[in-house]
Amino acid sequence: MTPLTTPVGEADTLLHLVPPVVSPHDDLRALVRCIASDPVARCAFVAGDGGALLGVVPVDEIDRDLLMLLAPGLGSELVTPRQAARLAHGLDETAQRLMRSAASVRLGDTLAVAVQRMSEHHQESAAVLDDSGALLGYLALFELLADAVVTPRPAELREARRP
Amino acid sequence: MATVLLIDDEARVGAALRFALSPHGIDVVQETSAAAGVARARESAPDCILLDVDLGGDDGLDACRALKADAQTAHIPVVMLTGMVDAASTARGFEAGADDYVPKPFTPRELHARIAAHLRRAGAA
Repeated sequence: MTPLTTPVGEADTLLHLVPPVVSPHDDLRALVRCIASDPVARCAFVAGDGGALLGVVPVDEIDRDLLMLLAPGLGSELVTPRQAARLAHGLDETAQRLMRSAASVRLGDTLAVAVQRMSEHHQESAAVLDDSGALLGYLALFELLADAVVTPRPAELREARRP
Repeated sequence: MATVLLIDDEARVGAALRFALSPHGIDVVQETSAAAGVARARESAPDCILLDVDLGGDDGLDACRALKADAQTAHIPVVMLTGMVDAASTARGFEAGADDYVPKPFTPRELHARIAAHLRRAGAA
């Protein structure tokens, strides 16, 4: 178990190096490939020149109905005019247009800070930046919580509910 | 000090390797093309080679075959860097003569443990 007071840079079994990254102008196909390459992250980080973090595209930002329409042989014969317009729009989507502000921490921050940032951003991963501010890796919320969450026993819950 | 040669076209992978391995006294040098990487391996005989399967145009698998076919470099352990869910690339890497693989992303401890094991076997650690 790694305590949440551990600095991010010392969490050597939780810090994932070489995170899934796309460029701002990458399209939906590149985004899908990137997210598929690392199912743990459940996002694609968007980085600019020199590895500077620009944002993140969580899986929730991807329109899955649109993906079904884009996949050959999956419902393309059912495309209505409205869906066709949506498809055309979807093909123009870029990482830059889909990205949100990313939860991020520095190597000297604690894992608890990482959990807090992910909670604030409603994200399941937090980008880890090196001393120069470049994207170095990420932390996954559920991996951090797996050791930290304690399940109370029913008797303890009953005790806690007593006035 | 042991030396690892990274052949990968992304500078960020080099930064990640240095972060994970430098604290353990392992030096990381990087080449960004297959040709330059193979040439450097012949020149400097690193203790271990980390080779990206997807070398952005250059074929990492061809580089692996070249390293294993050359008497000067055949003994150097080659560890392929692959995508986490890219089982086909992993299989092709072993078929090309790779000794091991590390899926991206990796944790610092996992990477060091794997590299240290190869360095021990090669008598470099």
